[in-house]
Amino acid sequence: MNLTRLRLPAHLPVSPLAAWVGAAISFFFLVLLLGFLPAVARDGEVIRLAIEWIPALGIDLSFRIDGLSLLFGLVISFVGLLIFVYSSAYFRGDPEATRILIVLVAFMLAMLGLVLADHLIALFVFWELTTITSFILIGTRHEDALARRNALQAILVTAGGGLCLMAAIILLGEAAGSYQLSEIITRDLTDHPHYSAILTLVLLGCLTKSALFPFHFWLPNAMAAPTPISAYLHSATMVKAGLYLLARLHPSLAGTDLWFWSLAVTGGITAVWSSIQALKQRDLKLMLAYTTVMALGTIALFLAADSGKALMAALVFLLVHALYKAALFMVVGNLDKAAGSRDWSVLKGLRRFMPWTFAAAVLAALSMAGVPPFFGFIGKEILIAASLAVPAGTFWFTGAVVVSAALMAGVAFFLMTSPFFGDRATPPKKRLSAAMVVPPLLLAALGLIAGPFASFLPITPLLQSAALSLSREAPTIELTLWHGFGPVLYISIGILLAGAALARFFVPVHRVLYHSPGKLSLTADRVYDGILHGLLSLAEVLTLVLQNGRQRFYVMTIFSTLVGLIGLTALNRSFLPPALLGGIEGIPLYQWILCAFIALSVLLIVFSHSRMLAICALGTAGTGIALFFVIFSAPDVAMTQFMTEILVVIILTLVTLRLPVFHNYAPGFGAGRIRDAAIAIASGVCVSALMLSMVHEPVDLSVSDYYGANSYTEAKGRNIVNVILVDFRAMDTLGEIVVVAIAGLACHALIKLRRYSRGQRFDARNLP
Amino acid sequence: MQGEFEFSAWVPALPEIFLALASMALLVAGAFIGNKGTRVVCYAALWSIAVTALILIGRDWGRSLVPGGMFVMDSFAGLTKLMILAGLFAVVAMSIRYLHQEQINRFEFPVLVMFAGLGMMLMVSANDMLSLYVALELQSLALYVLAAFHRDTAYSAEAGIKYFVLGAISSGMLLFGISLIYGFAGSTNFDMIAHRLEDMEAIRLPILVGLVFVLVGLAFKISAVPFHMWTPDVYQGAPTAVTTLFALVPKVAAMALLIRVLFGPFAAMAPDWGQIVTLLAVASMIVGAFAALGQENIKRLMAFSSISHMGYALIGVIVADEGGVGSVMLYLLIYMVMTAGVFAVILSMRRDNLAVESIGDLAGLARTRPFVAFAMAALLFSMAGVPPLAGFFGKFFIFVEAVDAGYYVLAVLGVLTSVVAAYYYLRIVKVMFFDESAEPFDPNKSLSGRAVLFVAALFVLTFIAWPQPVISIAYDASKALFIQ
Repeated sequence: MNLTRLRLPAHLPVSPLAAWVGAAISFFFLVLLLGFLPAVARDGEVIRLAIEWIPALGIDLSFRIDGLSLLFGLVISFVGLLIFVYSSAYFRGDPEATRILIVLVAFMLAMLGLVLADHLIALFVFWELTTITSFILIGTRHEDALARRNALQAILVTAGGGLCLMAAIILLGEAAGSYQLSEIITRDLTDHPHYSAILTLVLLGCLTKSALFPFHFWLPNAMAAPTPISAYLHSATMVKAGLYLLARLHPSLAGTDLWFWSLAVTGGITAVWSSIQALKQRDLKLMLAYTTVMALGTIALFLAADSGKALMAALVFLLVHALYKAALFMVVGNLDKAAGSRDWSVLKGLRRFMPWTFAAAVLAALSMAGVPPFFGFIGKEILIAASLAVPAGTFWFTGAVVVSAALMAGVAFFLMTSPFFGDRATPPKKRLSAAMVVPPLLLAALGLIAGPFASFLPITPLLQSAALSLSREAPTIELTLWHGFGPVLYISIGILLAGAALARFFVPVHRVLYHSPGKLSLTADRVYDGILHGLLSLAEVLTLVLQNGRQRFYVMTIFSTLVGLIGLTALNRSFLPPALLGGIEGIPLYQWILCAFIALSVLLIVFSHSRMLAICALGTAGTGIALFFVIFSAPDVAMTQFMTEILVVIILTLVTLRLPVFHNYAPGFGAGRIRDAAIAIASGVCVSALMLSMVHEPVDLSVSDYYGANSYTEAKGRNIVNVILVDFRAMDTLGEIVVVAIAGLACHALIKLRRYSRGQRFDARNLP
Repeated sequence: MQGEFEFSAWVPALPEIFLALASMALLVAGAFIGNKGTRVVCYAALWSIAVTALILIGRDWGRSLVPGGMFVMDSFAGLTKLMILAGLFAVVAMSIRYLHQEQINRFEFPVLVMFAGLGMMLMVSANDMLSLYVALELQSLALYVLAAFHRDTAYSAEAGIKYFVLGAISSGMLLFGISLIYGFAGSTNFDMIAHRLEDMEAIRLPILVGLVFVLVGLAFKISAVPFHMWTPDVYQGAPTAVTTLFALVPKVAAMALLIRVLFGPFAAMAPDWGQIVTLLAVASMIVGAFAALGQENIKRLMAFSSISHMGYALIGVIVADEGGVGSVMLYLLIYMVMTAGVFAVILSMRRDNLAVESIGDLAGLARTRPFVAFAMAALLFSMAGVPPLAGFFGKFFIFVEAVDAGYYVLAVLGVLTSVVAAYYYLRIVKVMFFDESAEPFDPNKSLSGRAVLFVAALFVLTFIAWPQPVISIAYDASKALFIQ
């Protein structure tokens, strides 16, 4: 921390007021959305609201409330309410609290907008708003260089994915003929010619947002954010946005092998791989981050399928996860605040000092492990049942679910025991206020209540109507604890036993994994670094090659491009240069000599060591060309050319007299010279070939004909050039004369200025 | 030009006539007052620009020609000219203090800006190859001098000479192209050329070659890759006030001119120029995105950023219909506002009364100047094309038009390069918000700079609320080119 920062006062007052404002706003939305619950969940209605926005292009700001958006909206506002209550205590005394909480409110509103929007453009706007606000929230602890890097990483990955989503949205709109989600989901786009492009881009957008393999790496890194933010953004809401969109587009995009396998593979790998990663962590928050990635992977896995059962399973698990995971994050936040650490090897025996936090941890972890009668048990049962019922890839589905669920159970049992039991009791430094204990306890208790009473609460109809938004096949699944004996129950019990065993031997397993060779966890992160590094190196090379500051190179590029463009255009229209040597025998000898004279002058320019000689040679080359004008009876043009050549030689000579000797000028036959020669010759050949082919093209003679016909009758003159100069375009000639006169005057003024002010004004020799 | 001179026939060019007279009057006045009167001349220049804009707004924007057909006024030209005048106004207003601080307080500055502006206004109204050339040169000559305006520094002198040499080459090519077209189409008038080309059964080689040369000349002015080489050097070397002008106005004018030329005389050759413009657009997007990644100098970075923005705008040109041009106009409008705001911040980057230009100098701006940092962040997010900011809509409409017309590859390339470009914009935001504070900047006393920043930030932030009027203005203006 540097001194300037210390001297500055905090801009905004230290006050948890913003937290209560946020809580009030989320409560308002919670109540508002609950009001829609009967109509949507019981009667299956779809409510639409629209405000005109850009009428000329048919874009309006429309919202759609159906089962799916209501489910997400309720989770967002309810978890938001608890998070704001929690934040009121968590951020107490933090000088940046107000700023963080204002952004958090903005984030929540954007998130609600995202899940409720009916127009794809509006959805995308809210989507990117969540990206921006989360960027600001992750980087909150900016004293830490790692936090800064991670904030940038999170936004680069998600904003990059967002731009892909923009392309996807444009393609979707074109394919479906509408940007309204209500319209799009009624259409089956799987046969559309751009289906695979749309799907790829949608997947890129959603996988990056939801931190699914191979873009999973940013989420654990984003845990640099304060705990309430991690709990809200990176567990309950933002990371689910990708899943929301996949679920939303399910009716029009799902049902193909591409959809099925890309999501199944991604989801499966993410679930299993991140559960293993969770075991490797010492930081409890990172452990939770990886279990979150596992949950996201599992939901993605089940979104792959097409059956009502699988989709229902995905949604139930989504709700289960939102309840226990946010609670666990807050528990870890409490441990961190009170005991000052998140490392499980340090935290021991806290049960006596933090009984309510302990209670919340136990309730949430039991739901996470899937112990009856918690809601988590129902969630796990339905996952297993659905995985056994998928028509293709049953083994893959069941395997992924069983392995990841067993590992999760192990992590859950470990989480509720390790920090709270044991002998080495480290007394906590501070006491926690009620605002930090009640929200996790409430969430975790809901997980207990929702289990046995799932059929009585409006949860079942809500989930069913949400599943109905995904697929036309109505799911008929009872959310009850007891389904009778069968493979599902046996697998479920097996998972719990395996989890208990894992928790018992957690420390040795952790040690083995921690020291395992090839830290896989960093691979994707390394790839990200590699890509970034590669981009920067590429940029460096590009800059060195293309933008090296040397004028000679710039000119070279311009000419080579020009040659290329002309060649391309000629080839494209299949113009062939005419026989180059046709009619060559008719050229008289003196013209050959003149040609040789010009060619020699040009060679002299190129190879001369003296600037003066080069300028003179330029003059002789020009004179040679002027002589051609004389030969081909254009004396007036020739005269102009002579005058210009003489003037140029004189002026350039005068200028060179004032210039220092050219030391670096070393003509030779280096690679640079050969390259320059190649470009020069290519330009010359190209232009000559063009000229030769143009000779055969008929010139539009209307202008010449006009003057030919009219010069005598209108202007009474026989010399057409004269007549044009003094009669037809007399005003132009007058203008030219005036310009030349003014230029002469200006030259005179400049020369006078130099003479009078020498030594007093700007002197070129003093330049660095 | 035969017959009696009638003033009423020249009324379509009234704004230009007024601006020309005002510039000349100010030049003469300045010559008598001397450099101590720079401030007065600047204010007079602001008034002249404002009056010109008022005259322009008061005129009928329907299509009308002046005698001889060299100059055309229509709604396309009208909108572009208004944008040009607004840009000139902002540049002159923001420069007054800067000129003083940098001790380049010369009265020629506002006068040259006005002459450049006059050239640009004539450019977008050109209806003849010759008026095009003369207008372009009027603009370029003023800009050559402006690039080297801080002639006591080697950088500025180098910028001026580089720009001049390359500009002269490109002008030569343009002229060569014009002469070929004149020789083989028999006219320099846009309408006549269009007419002749439509009548030809097959486009002949010399005309194609002429078109290539003309395109090269114009590509240089919009700094499309590979004719962009001068841009980073000039942006960095020229005084910041001049860089602001370069970034804001000539790009817009040259792009409008390019559109007028391609959709006027060469409308019949769309397949031919489409390929060349595609090449330019793709190269500009790629180079603009990648080359900017490693830049530390913010002016140089903005140069590459402007190159990539021109690349995106060119996609709209390739689409070659009314919607495409409309999306380009919208893009240019948004681009101008964003760039003006960013340069207002760059102009205010001073420490111990010295201008600083490195991105690292912005570190911790969020703590020393929270509002400036917030506005700048909004502008940068907008440039990266992140919604809900205005820049997103610019890109969005371009890509929609491209997809509509079936140019999927271009749209995808545009998105991919946007992702790369987002990196360097967001890196600046990261530096401003999260890095350790650098020394705070000198207090920004420039009222106009703050006003420009405020208006620009307000525009990008609130565009989403009322996008309709701006979008209709841009799309309506483009219709003028397609009514024949």
